[in-house]
Amino acid sequence: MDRRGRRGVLLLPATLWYLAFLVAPLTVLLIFSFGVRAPNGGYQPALSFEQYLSLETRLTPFLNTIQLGFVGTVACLLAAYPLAYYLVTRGGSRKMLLLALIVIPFWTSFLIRTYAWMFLLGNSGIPRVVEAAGLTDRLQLLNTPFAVMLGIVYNYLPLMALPIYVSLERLDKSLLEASKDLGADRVRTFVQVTLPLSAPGVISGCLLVFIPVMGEYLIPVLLGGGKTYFLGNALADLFLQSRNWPFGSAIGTAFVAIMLVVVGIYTWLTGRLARSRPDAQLL
Amino acid sequence: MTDERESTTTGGVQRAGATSPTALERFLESGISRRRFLTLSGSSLAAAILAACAPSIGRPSPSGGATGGNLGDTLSLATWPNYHSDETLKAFTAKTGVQINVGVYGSTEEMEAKLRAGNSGIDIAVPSNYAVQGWTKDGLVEALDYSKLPNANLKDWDPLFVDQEFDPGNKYTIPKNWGTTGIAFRTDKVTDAPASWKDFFAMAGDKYTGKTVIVDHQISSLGSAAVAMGFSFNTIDPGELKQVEDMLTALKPKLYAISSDVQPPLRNYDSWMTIAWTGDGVQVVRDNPDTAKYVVASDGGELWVDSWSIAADAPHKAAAYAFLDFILQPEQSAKDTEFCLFPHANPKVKELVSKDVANNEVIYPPAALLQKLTFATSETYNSPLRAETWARIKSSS
Amino acid sequence: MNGERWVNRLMRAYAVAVYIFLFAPIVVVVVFSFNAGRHVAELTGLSLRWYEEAWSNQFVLRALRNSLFIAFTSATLATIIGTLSAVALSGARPWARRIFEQLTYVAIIVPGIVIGISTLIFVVTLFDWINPWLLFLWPGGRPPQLGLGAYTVVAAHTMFTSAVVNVLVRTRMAGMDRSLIEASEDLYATPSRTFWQVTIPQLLPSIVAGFLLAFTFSFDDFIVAFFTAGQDQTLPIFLFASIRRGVTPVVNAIASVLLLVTVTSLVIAWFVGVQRGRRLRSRPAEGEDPILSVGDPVEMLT
Repeated sequence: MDRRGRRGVLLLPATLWYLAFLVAPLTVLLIFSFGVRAPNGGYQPALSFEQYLSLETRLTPFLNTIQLGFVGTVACLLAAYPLAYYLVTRGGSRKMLLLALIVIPFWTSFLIRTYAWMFLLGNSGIPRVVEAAGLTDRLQLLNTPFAVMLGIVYNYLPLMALPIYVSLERLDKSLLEASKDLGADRVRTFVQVTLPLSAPGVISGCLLVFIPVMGEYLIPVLLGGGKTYFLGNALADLFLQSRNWPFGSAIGTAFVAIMLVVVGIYTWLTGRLARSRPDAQLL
Repeated sequence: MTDERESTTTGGVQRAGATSPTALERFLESGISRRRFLTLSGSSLAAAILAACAPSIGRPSPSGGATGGNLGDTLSLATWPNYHSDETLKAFTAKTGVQINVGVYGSTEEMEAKLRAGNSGIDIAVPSNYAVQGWTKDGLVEALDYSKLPNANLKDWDPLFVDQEFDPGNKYTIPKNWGTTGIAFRTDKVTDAPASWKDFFAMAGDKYTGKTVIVDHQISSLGSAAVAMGFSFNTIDPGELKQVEDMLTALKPKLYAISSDVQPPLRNYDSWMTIAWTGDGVQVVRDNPDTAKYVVASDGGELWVDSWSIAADAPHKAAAYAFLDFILQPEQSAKDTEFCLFPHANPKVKELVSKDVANNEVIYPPAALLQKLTFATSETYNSPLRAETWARIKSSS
Repeated sequence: MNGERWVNRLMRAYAVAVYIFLFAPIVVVVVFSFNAGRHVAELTGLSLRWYEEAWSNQFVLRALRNSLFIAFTSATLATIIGTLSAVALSGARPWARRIFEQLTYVAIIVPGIVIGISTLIFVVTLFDWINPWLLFLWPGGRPPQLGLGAYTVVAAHTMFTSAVVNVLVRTRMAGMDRSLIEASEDLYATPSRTFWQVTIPQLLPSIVAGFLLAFTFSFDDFIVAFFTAGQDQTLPIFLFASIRRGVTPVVNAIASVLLLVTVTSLVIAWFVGVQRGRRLRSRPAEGEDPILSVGDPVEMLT
């Protein structure tokens, strides 16, 4: 066997795995989406478009999800960027420690952390402290859009912060010096040099956050009190509560299609940005 | 995805002349050192050792494990959290050598989803009454062989729960514990106690805005709302359901939560009033005897019973029968009941439990109130219209 | 100059606030693990009872065991598969490479819940088809019947995490020094020897990082396991089900112990690394800004 052939064999395990556990499941999903609900729940083979025609009944969760995806990503970005900047410029010898500290909270289980937030945001937590301090009446923090956003930022902060950190860290410091030498003040240097050059990290971080946020299920349930319905919730309920597998499959397929489109647009946009700025390396 | 992909710290050195990978790839590129490797593999190893040092609990055997003749070494239970006394399970294991693998579910729907998917490994399932008809019709559970259950004397049990429509003659199921769906509330905040579902829903939208919880359960919530509006608990009439849907959709923004996790908000006064099941009611009232109350609504509501059943494709049937026979002994059922604090349909069990439990009106409500309650039917449970109505209510903005 | 001081102060305050934000729930979790009362939301006294119970609560321990087993297995498989495929890609034909990259892309983009659901329906359909044949063809008494279990979770987890490992290793390969490989080949090393003694050691950091990422993802995953696990419940699934009907501080105790184990090993490794770092890097190079060019902290310790 020639070299290439032998190399090709190494590709086989991964390809087979993808075929078995990615392609096949998604294909079954597609097939099921054309079926109808069996009388007692489940799938009944059919060739029907009725599931796709009913997609609009879940329009609100879909819009909620897109909104959450974008707003959540932006919120994460606004929270993470200053932190990453601080670490790079002022971290000094403790950089590693500070970076590790960002990640350590994630060595507890997600569910347990979220349950802790339910306590902190609930009546016996922060609102009680704030009220005792005399600042305001008892607030409702839990089961609000605020709580959901907080949950998102909390859980995705490292995913956003780390790429930005890398980007800033790799920044050619001589460019900053040059900018200073040419008389630009700090703000101008930041806006016109640092920010654009950290764009690759920003873009990576946004992508890394956006994709999982779109599929969120637990945070709306635990921190949103089940009052806001996202696509993940709609999908799960269709399988677990309504046991309407075909409709659930249609939503699942539509979901994948949406993700492909959105991320595709994103990649195309950043590709254009890259072409207009050859020195930056973008996704 | 609700995961956090822990990334290693940054690293890597740009080598002159290398082709530049994409930014994503560069982020993911790890400059991890041997140190980090030791660190984190060490910790995962440590965690693994930790678990291994834990008292041996026996691995779940792969499907089809029972050796001919004896009971095998495992039994798999599909049930509810905090529903079984550890003591009784351990006693059974001590007696027979069979380890019990308990899988807990948040809802019957989830349990059914697993059972229907097939080959779930489940031996004994504990479904709620409304699922039973569908399960028996589709052959998910097998007809019980009472010759193997000498301890089952159902004729002495409370007639309210045996030989019911969902399982005539108890061919397939034996009641474990039963309960009610009622209203739990804080008496110090909700001074005009709700006595009926009508009161409950009226007050939820009016006086106690932002302080009410309804459970994320189509049967209990739609049913109770239907009763509040004068309809039957089990209605599947499109017209009536539409009215219920409108009412609940309008109410939703004024609710504190739609969640089956009713205790935490009630305990810390985030919510003052909630739909609750017996178990939640019992626990909250027990811990707050002066400020919490659980009532069964006067205009009707839900009565439910969870039953033992044996999965048709159970891998360990012999062990399953042995366990059922064991737990049906009144002493064992009494221990179980003392632990989970749900009422039991066997009057002998009521005699054996402590006075606190037997006389607790939350656990054993007066018979007069029980008469007004109805079981949720299989039609209700399987009704696509009800499921879709509920989904639409949750989807509404 | 004054403005700069203000900016510094503001930034430091912000960073401190973020760290408090990050650790607040952790503190809550640990504190409540010592709760004398039964509930995770009301602190009624201090006690070690939950740690004792964690040690003996078979339900929790079984779930923990399942989680560890699944995480370890899927991470190992994913690392092997992902590394092999990354190495293979470099020598593959362009069409193969393109297809594979697309598959990797899709694997990463598809939301976890869709992976969980689609794997469930696929596996169930497949088993429904295979099981009657097993019944029919199996010699002897009790044929095994395929069902959902830990291995179906491993399959789904491995699929996704191998894609991540693949990207990590490929990235590293792109920046790798080819000349070493070429030198090795020039010196008549067999491809296998080159692979094991030259390629793999250079890729080791990414491979290890991939393993750790895969392990963490799998261990903490809820949504995929939720649909594919059958009766072999993982810790997150167990927790979620328990939350509906009352979870006790046992879970806090377990979380605290896991946290302690991982933090301790990190601290030990850090000390070891710092000692090495101190020996290797005594002062910044001439002309470099001493603050900004401390450089990559991990690099420093390598």
